[in-house]
Formats: sequence, C-alpha cells, structure tokens
Amino acid sequence: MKKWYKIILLLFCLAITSGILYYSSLSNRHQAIIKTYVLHSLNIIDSEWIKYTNSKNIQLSSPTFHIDNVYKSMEGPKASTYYTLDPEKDNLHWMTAFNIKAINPKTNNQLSNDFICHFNIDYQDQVHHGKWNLLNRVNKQYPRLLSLSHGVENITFPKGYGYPFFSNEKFFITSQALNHNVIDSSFNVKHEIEIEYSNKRNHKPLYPKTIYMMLPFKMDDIDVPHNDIPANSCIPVETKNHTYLNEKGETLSGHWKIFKEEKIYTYNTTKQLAIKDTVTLHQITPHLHPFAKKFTLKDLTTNTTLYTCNVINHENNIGLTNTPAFFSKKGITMYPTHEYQLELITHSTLEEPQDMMASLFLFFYDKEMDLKIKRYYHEN
Amino acid sequence: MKTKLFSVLIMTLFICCSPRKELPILSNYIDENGIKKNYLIDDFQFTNQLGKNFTSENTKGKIHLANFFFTSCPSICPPMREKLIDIAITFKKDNLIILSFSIDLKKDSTSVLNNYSNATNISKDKWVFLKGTPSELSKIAQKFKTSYSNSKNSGDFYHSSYVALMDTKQQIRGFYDILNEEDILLLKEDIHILLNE
Repeated sequence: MKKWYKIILLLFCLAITSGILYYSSLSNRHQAIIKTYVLHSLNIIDSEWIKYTNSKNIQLSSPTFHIDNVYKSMEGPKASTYYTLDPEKDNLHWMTAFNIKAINPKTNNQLSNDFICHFNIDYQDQVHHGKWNLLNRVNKQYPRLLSLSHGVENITFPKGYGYPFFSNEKFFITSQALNHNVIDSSFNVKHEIEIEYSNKRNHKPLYPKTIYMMLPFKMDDIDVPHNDIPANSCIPVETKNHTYLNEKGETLSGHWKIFKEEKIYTYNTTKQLAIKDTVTLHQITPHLHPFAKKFTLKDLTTNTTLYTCNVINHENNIGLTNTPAFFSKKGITMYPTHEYQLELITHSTLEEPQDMMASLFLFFYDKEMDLKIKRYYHEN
Repeated sequence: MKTKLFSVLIMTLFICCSPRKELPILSNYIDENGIKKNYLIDDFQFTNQLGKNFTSENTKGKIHLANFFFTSCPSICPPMREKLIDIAITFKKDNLIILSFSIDLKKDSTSVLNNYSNATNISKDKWVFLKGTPSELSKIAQKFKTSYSNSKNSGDFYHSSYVALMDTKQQIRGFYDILNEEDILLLKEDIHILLNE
C-alpha cells in the first residue's frame, strides 16, 4: 500500500513540476489566459458578467481581472459575453453612445483608464443585414461595430444619428485589461461598460466600417528587412488574427514593432474603404497604441486632410492620455473615385521595441437603410 | 437517503424556477414596403451524398444545422469540419441533423461528397452533404441570410464560417460562428433548448 502512495505522490509531483515548467514557458498573453481561466473557474475572483438594462442604458459589468504583471496591448486578462436586449421582442432601437471605465471591484471607485486595453462590440452580419434584406452586405467585412480603447474611452454619435438594432439582435462583447506601468503590486479591476440607446424615431442610421494600417513582412523571414522596413519592425503579435494577404500575395500585418525614433508610416486605404457611392462620414473613433503621435486620414486625390488625431501620450509613464475621436452632424463627404491614405507618425522614447497598430472605426450615413427604416416606421 | 431525496428536490425546484431562455425566431425580414415577413425554410430540393433527393420534407420535425462549404476548401473548411464532427458526436442520439451545402458545383460531385462524408465517420443520416443547381443554391443561401462566391472568372471562392440553427418548424433560431469557441458553447446550449421545446 505504501508503495502505491509513493508512486502516486511521485506522479503528482511530476505533474505539478511539468505544469509549472510548461506555464513558465508560455508567453505573457497565454499565461494571462490560463491564470484568468483558473481564477474564474475556481471562483477565486468574480467570473460573472452583470447585465442591467433600463429604458435608456445598457450596463455591463465585466468579471474581475487580476493584474499582477505588465500587460501590453492584447496581453492582459479578458472576458467575453453575449448581449441581447430582449430576445422575446422585435422592436427597433438606436445605439447612440458608448462608455467604458475601470473600477476597483471592492470599493466601486473609478480607477485609471490605463487598465483598459479595449472593449469590442461585434454584431451578427446575417441578423443585422438580413433583417433589412441587405444580403449583399453579408460577409463583406468583419462585423465589428466598435472598439473603445485606451485613450478613447467614450464616444457619442452626432445628435440625430445612431446605430439601428432590434431588441432580439445578439452582440458579442469582449473586454480586455491593460497595464503598462504598475510592476510592484497585484490588484483587481473590473470594467464597467455603458451603452446609451433610444427608441425615438427621429434618428438617421450609421453604417460602421473599420480601416486599418497594414505593413508588409515576410512570414518565413521576419528578421530580414523588407520593403525598407527595419528588421523586426513588422513582426505580427498575433499572426492568426492579424495577418492578411494583398492582391499581390504579399503578407501584411496589422500589428508591428516600433523603435526608438520618429517614423512615418503610410497605407493606401482606398480598397479597404470600398466606397461605392458618394457618402458622408459622421464619426471616427481611432484605435492606437502608446507612442503613436499623429494619425491622419487623407484624401490623396484632393490632397486634403479629412481627420487628424493629435495623440497625447502620458508624460512620465507609458500610456495614452487622449486619442481624440471625431464627430460631425454635417459630415465629411467621401467619393468613390478618390484615393485615400492613412498616415501615422510614431515616436517611441524607449530602448525596447514597442508594438503598434492603427485603426479607425468609421461611421457613415446609411442612406439605403434610412429609406427602409422610414418605410418600416410608416408601417409599424 | 433523505439527503439524496432533498438534493433531487432542490435541483428540480432550481431547474423549474430558473427563467427559461427563449431563442428568437430569425427567419424573417422587412420587405421593400416596410412590412415584416416571416418565412419557413420549407421549399428546397437538393441531391445528397448518396445521389438521392433530399428536400425540405426531410427536415420537418427535426432540429437542423446548416452551413456552406466546398470539399477542396483549404482554409476554414477543415477546422469547420472538425467542429461539426464534435457537434454530430455530442448530439449523436438526439433529434438533430446537419446539412452542408456545397458551393463548388463543378468539382463536388456526388462521389466526391460521399468520400468527404465517409472521412467524417458520421452517419449519413446525421450529416447530409448536399449539391444543387446554381439557382437552388442561391435561393437557399438567401433563406439562410448568407452570401458566397463561386465565381469561375475570379477564381474567388468564399463562404461564411457561420452555421444556422433551425427548429423543428423549419424556422431559423440562431447563427453561430463555428470557428469561435464561445459560439460553439452557445450553440450546444441553444440546441439543448430546442430539444426541450
């Protein structure tokens, strides 16, 4: 009997040691995934989303995220959930504003927004476009409605505009924590998300589209300089989700590394925009990483700047104080015959390479849907 | 014994008193005149991997999943297939069938579909691989609210990684990205809801 105990004890010790060795060999991001899974599964920290809805607001409180390390973009603890306003009803509503803040789970006091990496909200193509019989829009782009991220924690659509949705539409929501600076303590945070909505009939619909800067790199030779981009400057952080092929078969990454220098990156975004008719742009939400300095959307055809995001970085540590969003009731007119370019200036002050990405969440007036909604309101 | 009975009673009360989750009916759209139209997926006719007719009569009274694919798809189809095999095994004994519509009308012959079906090791009654005419395919894709491309000229084949979940009355009750783990968990949960409806 004693011998069996010894064998079991030995196997147990081996399993524990292997587990520790395996865990320590993982990247920071994967360690955070495992750690968060264990803490949530054992209910050591709160693992549930709390959802509360009143007639004007959708409020979501995330599970608790345990911060015990530096977590750069896409590395920190995260949680996802589904949200449906009311699966049993089929009424039309309008999302008009979005807000996220970090709080202390014990005291509910607001914490620094430095602990917010991003909050994403995705819609379902088939349901959203299928409802209006706009099936030519299905599968045409990633169905992301919006991402609020570090530096831009709240946005409001221009008065009279909104994102139309039905009460039984399902949304996929993800929130991820961030910590660039705190290295000497461990603590918990929660994210509180608020989405303002309305059922007033006087709104005009907005159509979301995401454009993002991409840089070429060689998948099998990522340390070799390519197309004038310095060695290691374009290593995808997450190749599975952020690597793309262009029409020439070149591999492009939406994530890359920046070095201690000022650098200008440009990307022709005309194909991403795929503007079919003259449109008006009413809201722009930028998504940037620390050390971004200036992000611009240009009309190359007229050589004019449509939007400039003058980024304010923290003065004494790493982080984005503000990446101003744009909104306009009048809107910016954009044309199918014009060429458009994204231009990003970065300036890292650190010796170690830093990761970078640069996206714009755009909201255009949706004329086609507006006509359908007017007829729908007339009949209902 | 008393403790066991008490536990069963508590569990039963818990299940009975928990709010029942309802799945919305999604097989509807708003037409050009602004009027909501409900529809059923009850008028299709395809050929299955055994070369036999498979029509909407075969889905009556059955919970069914539907997706679009093609057998030579190198990218998203192999992982989609693995996930669907998992669903087929999980609900092996339940009133659920899977319908996979091929978008490659040229290459995906009945024998190609049958070989593909054999490789899954799933019963041919449980997972049906279907081929049809271009107009039948286009019509069924529209009903499942999806789009695909099998353009000969562009050489561009694409389809969605979403599967649609239908109830026994041939109504759509949900869409799920079969490549997303969270969506797969939700799909399994929602199948259980339909099985108990």
